[in-house]
Amino acid sequence: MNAKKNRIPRIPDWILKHIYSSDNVDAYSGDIEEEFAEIQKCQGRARAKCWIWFHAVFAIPRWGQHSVIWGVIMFKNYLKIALRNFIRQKGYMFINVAGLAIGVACCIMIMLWVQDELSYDRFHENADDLYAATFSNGSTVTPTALSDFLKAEYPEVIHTSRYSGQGRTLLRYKDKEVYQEGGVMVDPDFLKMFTLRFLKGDPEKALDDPNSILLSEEVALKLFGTSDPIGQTLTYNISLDMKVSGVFEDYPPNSHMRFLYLIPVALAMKYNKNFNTWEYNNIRTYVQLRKNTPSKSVDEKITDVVERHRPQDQRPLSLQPITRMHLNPFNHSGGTIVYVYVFSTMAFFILVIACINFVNLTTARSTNRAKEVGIRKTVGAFRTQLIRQFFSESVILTLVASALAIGLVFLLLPMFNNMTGKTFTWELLIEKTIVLGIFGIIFLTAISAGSYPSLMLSRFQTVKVLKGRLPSGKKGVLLRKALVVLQFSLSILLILGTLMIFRQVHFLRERDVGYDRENIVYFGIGARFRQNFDTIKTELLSNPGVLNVTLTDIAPYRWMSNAGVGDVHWEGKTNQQVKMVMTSVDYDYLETFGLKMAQGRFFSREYSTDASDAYVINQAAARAMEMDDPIGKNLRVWDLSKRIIGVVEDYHFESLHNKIIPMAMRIDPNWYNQLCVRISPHRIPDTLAFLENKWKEVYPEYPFEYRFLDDTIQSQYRSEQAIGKIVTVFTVLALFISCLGIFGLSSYTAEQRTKEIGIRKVLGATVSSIVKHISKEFVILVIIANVIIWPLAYIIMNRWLQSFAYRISIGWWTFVLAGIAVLVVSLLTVIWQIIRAATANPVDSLRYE
Amino acid sequence: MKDLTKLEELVMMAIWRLKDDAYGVKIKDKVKEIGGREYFYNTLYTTFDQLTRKAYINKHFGDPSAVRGGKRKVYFHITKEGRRALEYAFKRHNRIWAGINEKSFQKEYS
Repeated sequence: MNAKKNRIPRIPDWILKHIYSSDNVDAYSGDIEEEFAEIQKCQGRARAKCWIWFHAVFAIPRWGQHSVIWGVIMFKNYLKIALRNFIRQKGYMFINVAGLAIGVACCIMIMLWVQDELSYDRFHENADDLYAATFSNGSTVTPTALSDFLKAEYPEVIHTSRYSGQGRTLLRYKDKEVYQEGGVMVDPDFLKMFTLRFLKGDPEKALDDPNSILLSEEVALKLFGTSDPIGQTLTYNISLDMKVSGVFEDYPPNSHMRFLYLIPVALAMKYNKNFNTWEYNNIRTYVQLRKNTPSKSVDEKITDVVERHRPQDQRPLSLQPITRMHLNPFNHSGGTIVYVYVFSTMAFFILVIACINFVNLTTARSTNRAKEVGIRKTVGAFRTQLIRQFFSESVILTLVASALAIGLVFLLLPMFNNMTGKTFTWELLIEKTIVLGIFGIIFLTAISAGSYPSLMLSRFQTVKVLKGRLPSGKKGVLLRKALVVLQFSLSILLILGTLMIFRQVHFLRERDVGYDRENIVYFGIGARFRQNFDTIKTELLSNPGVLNVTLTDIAPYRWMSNAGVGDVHWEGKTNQQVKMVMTSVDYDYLETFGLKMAQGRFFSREYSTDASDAYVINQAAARAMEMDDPIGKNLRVWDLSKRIIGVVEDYHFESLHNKIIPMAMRIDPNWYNQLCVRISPHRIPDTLAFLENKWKEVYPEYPFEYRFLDDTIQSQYRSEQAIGKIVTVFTVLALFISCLGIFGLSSYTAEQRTKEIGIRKVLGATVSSIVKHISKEFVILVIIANVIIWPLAYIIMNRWLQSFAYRISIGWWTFVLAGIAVLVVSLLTVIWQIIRAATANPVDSLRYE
Repeated sequence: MKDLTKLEELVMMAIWRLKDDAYGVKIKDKVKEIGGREYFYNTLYTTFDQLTRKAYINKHFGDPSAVRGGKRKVYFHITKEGRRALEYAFKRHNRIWAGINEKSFQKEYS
């Protein structure tokens, strides 16, 4: 017979061999093989296989029972020994557990934040099929006609909707007036695409009537109180009557969109026949694709759609998943993908640092456990059992630390909310993904912190250990040192990162923006102001508190563009491609904002032609057009052809994230939207009261609302500031955990070397020389850490700074500062321990020799 | 003297009856025959180990054979102590069941 054919199946054989282990194992497996062969001979191989599988599978439970009972008994012993050790070494245990707990707590909080950032817009039922049409530069501002075109031309597109924010608008119902933010104009499809919970009304046809309006619960409550708003008519923007057709539950905050009420796009089309054209480029376009359509396939088709209709606009178009919108750096409300990476890395670093503490302290203290290991091995412990013992000790410690960590998170959650501007509640902690994440963190920590010590401890050689020769192997010491270096490298990296963020934010805040931004108040205005502006202006200027008054379409710093037009022509143009933004200003713009002219002159009432035939460009424009002497040259943007009369010095009309781009100013009262007033710094309250009175005269139906320009500017950096704060806190914690670690190590070293110190002192060493000698070791480690991490830190920070158009130079002193800071902190941590050891009386330490 | 468990009793009786031929496969068959139920090898061997520890049985090695994958048989014997333990169990058994026969059970239910 073929030998291979008669062989016993390997898996059940393996199982059977492993569930019985004793001296008779040979006979045991021999018996099994004999019976297998017998059954095979009489009843065939199939039956024999059946038999052995049956045996293997059903024998397991009995064996399991056996090993579990013994496992529990041994585990009780491990637990007892572990507890005794914890109690005997309270200090170290505290450091170990505290470090781990803080590390895990940081991780959990960062995870909450990251998960929140990533959860944006996931709550839409169709989230995976929803996209926003996006230009290659990241802009989602698209032509109005795009929406209908995409829906008509491409079968993959099942719904489209335009989306256009309306700014603050007056809503009036009977005698109740609300100056309401968050109005958005959408198409009826919007309600089919995005998940909105309707409290009242029919989502199918809520926006079909151009004069309908959908309110959020919040707005409905403000206007109607407890009465039923459905079917009621309210006045929108003073003149329009709108019928409330539905109320929806307040839209969740974790979305890139924000709206408090919705009105149909059809309303705008009713009053503006030119609204739905390719020229009108001022609206977002959302698209829903048929289920499981890859967006790539649609991207290929639509890439040149806009270019076909607007030849001057050559940016390729593609679809961006809405779940990415919040993270997209172009989006002003968020753009946090960088910080998602930064924070995840930080969480990882902190956990690594905490785990290193654990490993270092456990291995350093291992000599205390050496005798125990020796005895256990002598009385017959297997190595696997020892590994299990020490591993379960680390698991217990990790669990204790994690419990503490969760408690910490509970306590710190309000603070964390305050810092991040989010609203995490403790209920979040029991959500599925978070719970999984927490378990993941605990599991990872237990594995990484527990594996090395348990392997190392179980490796001790019985004879040597019991002889009293302690396994103080050089390898262990070297590894500990390497880990300390790694810890400090990470801490230094975090500190450097924090310093950089702060310096950059400070730089941006203090940078000369090119105009005077202090004491400027601005208001949004409507048509009535434009008409008799000159009289109003004289009246305003009669107050001594008002220094200058001007009008413009967009106040500096309120720009969020990159949206220059490409359709620019000028005298002597060769092939340059120049994109230019255009703004409408008033004659007093220059003085109000304290701009300076580089060449030529600003608009002036003395020249009657200025109103129709004059551009003032900025230096960036002159440079881009390669004009040395632009005065008097002709410039055409869109179809507006005018002469250049002056060049204004560059100023930051956008956020400092962006480079100053070419700009042309003209006089055009039709576009005026903002009234900017420079007021005297000495009489701000009086002047504001005066302005309010005037406002009420001219605009009785609108509430008086103003903003200071520098407040607006500050708010631009709020996200950077918040991030800076979070980063600082976590960096400090990381450094703290590292220091806890070397605190433990140094006190241990001092304890180990009591005798050495005693002998040194007897031989005449001074306290200071001993301190110097021992602290030198730690100083060297910190210096090595510095040297290792500097090049890496340089590369990382350089890349981060690249994202800013205006940035600081990194500067070597930052590195030195971070290095010295870590050095000082770590020295302070260890020195106390060492001094204590060094000042001890050598008689005490050497008494028993 | 410690009481024998039912399984130990069963295994020892099987070994006793098998005399010189008492090794794993045969013991398993015998236990099935007299005990009316099949046991797993690891259960039986655990019992062998227990009985050996109590010194009720001892063992000697047989020759290896090809059909056993080249592994030796282990033959078990009842020791003097083992026989005493069986005797004790037998007497105890008889005491417990004294005066009872199969008819006794039928009477109870009629």
